[in-house]
Amino acid sequence: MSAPRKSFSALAENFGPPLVFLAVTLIFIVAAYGYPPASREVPLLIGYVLIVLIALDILSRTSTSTGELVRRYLNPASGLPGVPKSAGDEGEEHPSGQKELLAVGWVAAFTAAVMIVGILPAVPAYVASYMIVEGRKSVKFSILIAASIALFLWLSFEMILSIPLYRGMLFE
Amino acid sequence: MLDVALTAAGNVFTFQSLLFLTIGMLIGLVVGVVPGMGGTTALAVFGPMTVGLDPYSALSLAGGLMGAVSFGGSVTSILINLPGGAPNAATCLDGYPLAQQGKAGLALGASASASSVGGVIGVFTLLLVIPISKKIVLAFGPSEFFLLATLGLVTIAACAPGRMLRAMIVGGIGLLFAFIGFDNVNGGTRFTFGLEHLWEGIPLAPAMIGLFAFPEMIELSAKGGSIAKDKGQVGLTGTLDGVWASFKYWKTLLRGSLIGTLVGAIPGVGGTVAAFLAYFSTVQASKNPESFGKGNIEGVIAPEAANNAKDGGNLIPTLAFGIPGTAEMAVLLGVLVLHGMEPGPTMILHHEAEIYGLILTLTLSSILASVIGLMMVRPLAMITRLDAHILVPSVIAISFVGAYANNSLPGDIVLAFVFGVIGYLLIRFDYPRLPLVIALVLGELAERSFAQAMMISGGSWSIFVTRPISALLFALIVMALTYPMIRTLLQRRHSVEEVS
Repeated sequence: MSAPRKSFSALAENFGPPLVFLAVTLIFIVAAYGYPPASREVPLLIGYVLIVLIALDILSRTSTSTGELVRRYLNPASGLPGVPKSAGDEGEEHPSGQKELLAVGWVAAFTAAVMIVGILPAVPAYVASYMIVEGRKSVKFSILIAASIALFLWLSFEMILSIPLYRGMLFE
Repeated sequence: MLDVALTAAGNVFTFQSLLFLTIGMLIGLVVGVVPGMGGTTALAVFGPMTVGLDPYSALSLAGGLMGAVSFGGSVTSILINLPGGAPNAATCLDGYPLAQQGKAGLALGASASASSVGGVIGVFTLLLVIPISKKIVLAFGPSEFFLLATLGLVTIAACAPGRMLRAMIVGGIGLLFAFIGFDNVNGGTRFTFGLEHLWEGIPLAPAMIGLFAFPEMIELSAKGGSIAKDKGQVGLTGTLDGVWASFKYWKTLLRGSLIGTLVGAIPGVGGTVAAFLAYFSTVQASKNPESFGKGNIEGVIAPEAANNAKDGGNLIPTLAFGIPGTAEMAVLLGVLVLHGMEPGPTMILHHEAEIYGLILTLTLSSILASVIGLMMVRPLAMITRLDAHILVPSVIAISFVGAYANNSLPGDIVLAFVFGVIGYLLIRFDYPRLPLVIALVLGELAERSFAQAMMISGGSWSIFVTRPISALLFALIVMALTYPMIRTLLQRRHSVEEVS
């Protein structure tokens, strides 16, 4: 069972991203037909060009000779081991999925906290709890850093820039 | 002209004006460092506060702020791969890899000197061009604007070495995202999918913060450690080498500055295209294009010079015709109006001394902001040595609040998170993120110009090749699209010859 599962996950990793792009493009194309001709002209133009490009991307991920040709001229660095990633996205080994999910989870929790209780309580709570739980930092040090950041945000935005910080759904 | 310039200098070199210039620079540096808080927001906040000041003090504050913001933005681009503003995104390409290699000081030094020289060249070009500026601005019509926006997008795709196809796909998706919200050409809203928050479109600040700050911090959080992989190697001593590097690569510096000035002079295009065009042209001109994106110092010099030089260019349509080319210039125009200067072609005639005063303060701030910035290099570069578990929550908290502060909309924080996830997935599956940002910046301009060009030509596409500037831009687009393929072909031939 493990071999077919592995090959399925490899297939999903290879063809998943262009298929997601294709789905997004199709959603926009279908939605575009609900608008007047003048409003949909450019989105449709982009949408159909995207379908061609995505088809080429899918083709470049196959082991066919045409796929090799497309890869060679349009995506020469893709799928080749040892070739650095594109400019600005210089990454090497990615961390494990579990660690990634945990890291995203912290930010998701922070975002939710901001929306519910507002920026000023959420920021120190997030910074301190992250430092204590994830970083194993001392409670005193974590609270000091968290309070400094909250103070900096309050001073910069509320006091100097006169931008009131969001109070959250509970207190707005 | 000399009399007016001397009068302006006399008014700028007073204690009060220099004090406000310094205050403006400090604000600009801080605002530039805070992600999402660009010069436009800062000018909008501080501009009205100048009402009680004399025009020279007010213009000193505005000039100081404008001149310093771009260097402030490049600091975070280099140190944590988070551009302070969209034009700083090009600096990330090679600046951040340099910081990862422990050469943050080198990159910041190069950025400071390139910003200074670029700013000065931009302002001097403005002085030379003001008399003939009308012809330049009027030479650009809708077809040229559309092609320029397209060139900006194609440039980004061509800059993603080995991943042109994927960059074009991400750029296309970015364009579709840019169409979300109010349709400026035909009225009504599009692609909002029932979400009221999207009626105004996707705001750039949350999208940019999500795409750049979030993925880096997620990766750092999951991996632990610090930005500089070897803490002992964080090079704080290379700053002067960095300053010198800009002069060593003087052709890159000059090219970037001229591109910045030229593109900045075209209303509606802005510093993002200028910075990326400068970067792209440097990659193309290099004998070693493969080294870009991995920490080539020329990849910092070119966009930084262009980014600061564009301010001089931006002022050409703003001062000569009262047409603000960018949002920042629109706010500046508001400040000028507050001080009794009516926008339009007559402004430069009636307020010549004040205009030259503004040009002088911009020149001064371009140089002084970099000097102050360089003095702060050591503490700033220490950011790359900070423990991930301190840096990650701090950057996430500050940048997400920055995403909110731009429009004071809490929904923008959620947008930043959503774009953060998109950005992380793009990295994870080996797609470049930059084309998405550039498409968001240029999408509206491209669509509007396309519609106008089609209306002018009665639906004929020939308008894009029959006008001289259009034809030139079209040729550049074709060249940018085909050059990577031709280069691959030539490299293959070369390696085949070597083997045989």
